[in-house]
Amino acid sequence: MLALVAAIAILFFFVTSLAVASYHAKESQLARDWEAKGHAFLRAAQPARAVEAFQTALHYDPAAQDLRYAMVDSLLAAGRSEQARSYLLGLWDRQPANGVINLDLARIAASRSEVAAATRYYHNAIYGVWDSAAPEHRTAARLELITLLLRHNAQREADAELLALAANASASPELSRKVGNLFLQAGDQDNAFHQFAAALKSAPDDPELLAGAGKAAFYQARYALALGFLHKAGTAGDPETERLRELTRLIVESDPLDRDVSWQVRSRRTLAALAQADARMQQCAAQLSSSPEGVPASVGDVLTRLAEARKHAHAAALRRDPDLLLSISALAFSAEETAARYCGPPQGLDEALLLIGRQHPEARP
Amino acid sequence: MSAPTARLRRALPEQQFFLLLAIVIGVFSGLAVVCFRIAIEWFRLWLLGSALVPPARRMLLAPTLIGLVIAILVIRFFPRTRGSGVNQTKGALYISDGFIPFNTVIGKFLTAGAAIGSGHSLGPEDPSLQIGAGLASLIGRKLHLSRERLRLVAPVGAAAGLAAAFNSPITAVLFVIEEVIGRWSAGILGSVVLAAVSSVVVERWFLGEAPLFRIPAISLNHPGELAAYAVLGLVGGVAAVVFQKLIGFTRPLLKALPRWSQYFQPAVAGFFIGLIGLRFPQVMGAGYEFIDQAMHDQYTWQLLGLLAGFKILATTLSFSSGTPGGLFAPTLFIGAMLGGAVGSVERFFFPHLTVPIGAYALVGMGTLFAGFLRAPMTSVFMILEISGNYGIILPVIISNAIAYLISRAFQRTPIFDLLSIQDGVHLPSMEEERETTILRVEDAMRSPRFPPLLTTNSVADSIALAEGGGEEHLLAVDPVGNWYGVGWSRLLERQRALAGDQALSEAGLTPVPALHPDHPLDVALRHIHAFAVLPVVHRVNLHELIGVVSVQDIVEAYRRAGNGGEDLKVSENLPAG
Repeated sequence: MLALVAAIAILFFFVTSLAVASYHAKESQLARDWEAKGHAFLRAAQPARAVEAFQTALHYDPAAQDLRYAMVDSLLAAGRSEQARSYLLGLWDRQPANGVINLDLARIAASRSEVAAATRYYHNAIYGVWDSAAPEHRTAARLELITLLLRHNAQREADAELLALAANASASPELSRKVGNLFLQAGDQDNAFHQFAAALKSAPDDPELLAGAGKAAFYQARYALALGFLHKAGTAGDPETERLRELTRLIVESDPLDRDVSWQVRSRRTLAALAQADARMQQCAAQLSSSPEGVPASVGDVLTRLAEARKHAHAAALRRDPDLLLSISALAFSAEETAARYCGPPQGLDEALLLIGRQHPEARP
Repeated sequence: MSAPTARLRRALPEQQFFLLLAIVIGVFSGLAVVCFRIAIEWFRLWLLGSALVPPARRMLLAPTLIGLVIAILVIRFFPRTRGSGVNQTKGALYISDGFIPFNTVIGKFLTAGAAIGSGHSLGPEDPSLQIGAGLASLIGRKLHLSRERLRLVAPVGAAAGLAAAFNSPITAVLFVIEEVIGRWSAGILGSVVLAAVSSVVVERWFLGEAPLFRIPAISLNHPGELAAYAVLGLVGGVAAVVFQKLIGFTRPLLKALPRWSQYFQPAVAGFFIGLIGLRFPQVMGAGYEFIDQAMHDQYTWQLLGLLAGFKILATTLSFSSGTPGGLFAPTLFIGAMLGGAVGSVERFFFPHLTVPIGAYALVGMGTLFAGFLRAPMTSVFMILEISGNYGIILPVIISNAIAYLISRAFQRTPIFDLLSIQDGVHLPSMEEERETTILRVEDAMRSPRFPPLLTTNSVADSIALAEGGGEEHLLAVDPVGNWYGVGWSRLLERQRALAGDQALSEAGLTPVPALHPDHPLDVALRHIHAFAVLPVVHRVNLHELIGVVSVQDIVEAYRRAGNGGEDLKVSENLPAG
């Protein structure tokens, strides 16, 4: 009887093994079939059906990590971020250091403007475990984090992340361009310029790097240097670069206090600045006079001073008297500041004069 | 019996042979349950297709047509496979000396597998329990076990079957002890545990160690959260009562219909379940994957509530129509959905409560288990075992206790007892047995009228001491603390024989066992044959007589407790013949 029981047990074991193996094979095949359907639905922009397909695939292969990520992607594509989040949290419980899961959670938190939670998950992703291409994934996660911080005006935190990124960044011009641009957004012009300048060593003719360096130099008020970069960058189809180049050119060519040009040129520029500032103030006063508050006293005062100055300002007198040149220039800059304060941001030469005035502390009252 | 088997049985004491047999039963049950689960999946693929949400045509046709086939199989070939299988296993233990026909195992495998695979709202656990019990019964018969062992072998197989189906040995052991056997003893417990563990090992060998559900991280962060779980207990208790009442009402109603209609009842039930499935496909089948989704916050509270309600309806239809299949999985499903719904509503009103929905769903499962199946201990340990998280114990106990009390208050008879009564079988109610007051010696004893005699005294002194007491049966104690009995007439006889100076110890005393006040009264009954009265002595001082107890005292105690009346009422309810 014992032998019979043992024989039956072995036979039973064998039959069960066959049954289980055949079912597992069927499950694997079904999982792959449904996964393919899910991806097809995603490509066809049918995320709801993709969710169902991936759910079914996961039913047959619950351990498949790639299926889980695809499921999250489809949930997010279907706008079911809450479900995606709870799904991810379930995965996170088991793999809290997983880079992909943390990055997805960070993106969901970011989409809900939960900056603290997003920052936490981004950091987990940056310092987490990645199956492949870990440095690239970490860099990308940090770039996303920086973008989020900048979007929420957390310039200081963004700058700290950028410094960490710059320190770890490889010499890729593409990355340098991104980092430089982010530094620019964070208001850190010095580091932005260093990024672009360093990248230009390996790609000296890269128009985007040249434009970035030009912008950084412009915001550093190094206009001559900026003009060089911006000229070399060409138009590159970027209206902002084009605008900055034109503005820089105006600044460089209109500065009445530029010590590198002759007194003759400086006096000519001073007279031009005065005329431009006077025109801007006249226009501003006309605009203000139609408002209920009327023309403010300070505007009237500047107008009076401009009219007075125009009586005494001649090219010969300016060439002879550097103090007069300085005071007339200072008046023109002051008029542009006043006009900007009461009548909105200036454009063209007015903007150039405003920036020139801010560049010269000696011309401030 | 073959020679090696006979040699083995001679070499091993019966108890050890039975333990060895429990392992063999566990292995066979584990293999059978693995095949059963695979069979359900194949049935599902063939009948409903591979999609989680099957096409509408299949949803309507599969449970209907399979219902028709199942009805023919059950009525014509496998009449014992109706229902869940728990009561049938209890019946084997208490009525048929452990006998479960092997064709019941085959029938249960086929009919329950097809029913669950086709989408009938039933679970595989109770059928697995019956399959395990049936296999164990077959093995026991083939090995010519004694009647007592054969009777116990079915619950051992039941534990193995349930453990493999649940992938949870502790839950299975507790359920079988709590609901089927009803008593703890080292011999039974050892066999049940060995069988359960060996079947789970086999099951995990083939199907892996993955639990039935992915359990989210759970912790109790604030004592205030316990109030939220108490509300869950309340809701779960009410739902359990509704579920019990519905089955209790519908099942006899359908059974009372003409016999020909029973061929169509599972099909009609299947059709209605298909209709429900068109809108809520989650209610079809066992639904474990949807429990998992509920645990991970995939549904709104409105949908969770609807799923719980429709699952109650669908399970009532399937089960009452006589379709073979279990109640465990539907109970867990309903509990998880209700738990999730309660959790979602509470999170809406009290967003500061940080409990994840998964925690409510998990506790909800235990709550319904406690309220509906009325196995309170199993329900607590089940949640602990499947969650592997002891942090959940307090919420589980609170919620389960409330649901259990509500269920008891509004549905006096537990569901399995109710089902057996509806079938005209009066199996012992484990809940009643648990709550029956145990009478103890202290409930029957009376004070001694005079101090005990000392065996070192003379017969004359002893007569002087006992004279006037009016006791015919006297008790004496020796210096060591041994007790003896002697009749009053015997003492007088010794004195008349001019042996008054003789020591009492030489007067022909009868040794009697001493009782203690906390002994069950049953112990007194077992020993009362030794002498007409038995001494009740202090546990520390064996010379100190606290009381005496006689047959009349014992009978009077039982009469006072009213047990005799209860017994009479039960026997009056037995069906004729």
